[in-house]
Amino acid sequence: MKHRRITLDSDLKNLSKVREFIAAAASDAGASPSEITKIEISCDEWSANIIEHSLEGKEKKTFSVECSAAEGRFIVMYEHEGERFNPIEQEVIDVDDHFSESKERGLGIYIMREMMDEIHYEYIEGRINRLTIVKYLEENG
Amino acid sequence: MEEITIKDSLKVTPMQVGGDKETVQLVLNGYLDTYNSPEFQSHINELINAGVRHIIFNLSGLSYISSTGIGAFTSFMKSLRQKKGNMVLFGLQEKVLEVFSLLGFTKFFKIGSDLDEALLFLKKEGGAAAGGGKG
Repeated sequence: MKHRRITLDSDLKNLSKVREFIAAAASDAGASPSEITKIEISCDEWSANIIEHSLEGKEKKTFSVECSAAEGRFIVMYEHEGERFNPIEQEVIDVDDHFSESKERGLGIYIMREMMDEIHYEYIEGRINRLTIVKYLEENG
Repeated sequence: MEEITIKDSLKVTPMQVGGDKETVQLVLNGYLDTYNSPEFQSHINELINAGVRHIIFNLSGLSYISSTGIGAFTSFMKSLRQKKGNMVLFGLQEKVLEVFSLLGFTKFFKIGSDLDEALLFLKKEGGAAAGGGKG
């Protein structure tokens, strides 16, 4: 598949647009329905993170999402300008504790780690957060 | 509670269940994510504060749920249990059920196969009326 890229305003109402964009790209790349769900919920978490935290209180900004596939791997690359935020450095939560304490947030990073096969973070030129997340696709997916 | 549409993305339709004012079935249509979850949570909390103790969530029209949406359900569960009430979900689409399952949340929520099973669960667990749903 060709690289696909969209750039959207950092507005939570755009979460559904990102999900649709990524799900369509993953489907075209041959991902199974179950793989698409995993990719979709992982990406949704990162999209929400970007919009809610990195861009909070700032003037209207944008973020971009690029999808590609190669050698059985589906790759999603996010870029946005904002404060440095490396999800890989975040604390690993325990889902049981999370529920018993009735926390309502904080699952996002856990989901990305559980559902995807690779996560790479870079902070470029002191202003651009780039997160690349990869899902290995089953051969018959 | 009247039918409400949250941010053009989620419709919540209440249905009376067996004439019991403390029990309600809520039919969800749309999706539930970080965009609309806070408002959804606020509406349901109003309902709980107004005296509803048992909620049946009919999720057959819910096409997607994020972790924030699941977080809203954990919050309702806590509030209802404080009132010695309970909640049950049914009609989950495959994708929504998969999200609950992938995140390990199926063990925390009672998920019924249909409205009758949901009512039976509430009757056993929470003392709700089980006179059958309307609509």
